[in-house]
Amino acid sequence: MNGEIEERLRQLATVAPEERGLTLLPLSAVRRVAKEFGLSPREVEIRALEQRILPARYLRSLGTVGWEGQIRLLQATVAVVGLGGLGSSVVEGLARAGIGRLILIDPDIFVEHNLNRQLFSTEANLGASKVEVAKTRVAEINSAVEVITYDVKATAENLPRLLEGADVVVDALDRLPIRLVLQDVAQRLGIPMVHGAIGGMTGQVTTILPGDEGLYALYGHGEVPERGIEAEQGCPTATPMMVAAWQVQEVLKLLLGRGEPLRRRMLIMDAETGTADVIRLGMGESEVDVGWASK
Amino acid sequence: MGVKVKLVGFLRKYAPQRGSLNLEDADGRTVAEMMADLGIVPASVSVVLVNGHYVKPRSYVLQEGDEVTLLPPIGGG
Repeated sequence: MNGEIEERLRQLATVAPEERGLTLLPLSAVRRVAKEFGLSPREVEIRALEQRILPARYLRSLGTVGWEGQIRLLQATVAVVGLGGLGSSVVEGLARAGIGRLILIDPDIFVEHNLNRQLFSTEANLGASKVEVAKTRVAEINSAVEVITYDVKATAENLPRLLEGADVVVDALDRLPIRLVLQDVAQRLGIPMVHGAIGGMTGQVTTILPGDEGLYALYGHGEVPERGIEAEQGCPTATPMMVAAWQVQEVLKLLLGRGEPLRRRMLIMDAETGTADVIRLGMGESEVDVGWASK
Repeated sequence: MGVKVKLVGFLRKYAPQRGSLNLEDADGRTVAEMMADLGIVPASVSVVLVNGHYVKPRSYVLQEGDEVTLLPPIGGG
């Protein structure tokens, strides 16, 4: 049976001389093989990549991600906590990159004041569950991505269960105290966390690995206010997109073991002054290093 | 050597040159006093890092060689 699948993939794939002679597998073929052999589209894509047959949708990623990298992404699980301005754009990016499994956590429904920035909100889906809309959107973008939804508010109690199996967690929440709770849980579970936050025209991103001080280096261990300058300056259109794009890139770097994560450093971009600063965040050495999340 | 102060984001307006200041006479003063000297309204900056680490502005006394970063607290999404 194994050989049969590979044989079928070869039959349906085409060599593309204009694409450096790569052997490409169109979406229609992924669907066909999945149906014929009772596999999920994700399993078909992984089998194809192992044969160096490229699902055509990843053609423009290949140069950066690589064959093994794409397999790794398809085998990965990423949890996104919060599906607001940050979370929706993060989910969009991760789905397009071909992350195999997404865990989406948000209790909210779409309301009108989401329309200024939240990618999945439309006039037609006001009142609909954010996680359900996100799930539909991901299926439209990339049917190889499996989506698990939790229509609940993240808490210290439920997070350990909800994050089970995640290789990376994305902090796309909108209140400061729960972000610290998420860091605590991620650290206990040994999962790296990519933090992003915005307020007005300012945004920040940092990657926190187990053992790092992360948000405690920023806010200390005392009382933390619920909200920052966004209480006054709001959450406008562009800032969440800027930060979300960086968060997506940090997740991919961690999964691919590539580049230098924004670890013990925080990128602060301020669109108003047209500046970006990378500041030092936290002290101490951790034994865990770049690429540790790769299997 | 003095105390180096980095102002991030919209706080940069307090150091329009390059976003950072070098203060020769700030050691021995608290962060809150130093901020008042610079005319920075404390409410606009509740996150103060010294050498990459959270401090309480009213109790932390600056020392020679400290690197202070002042940044706006942001938590939105």
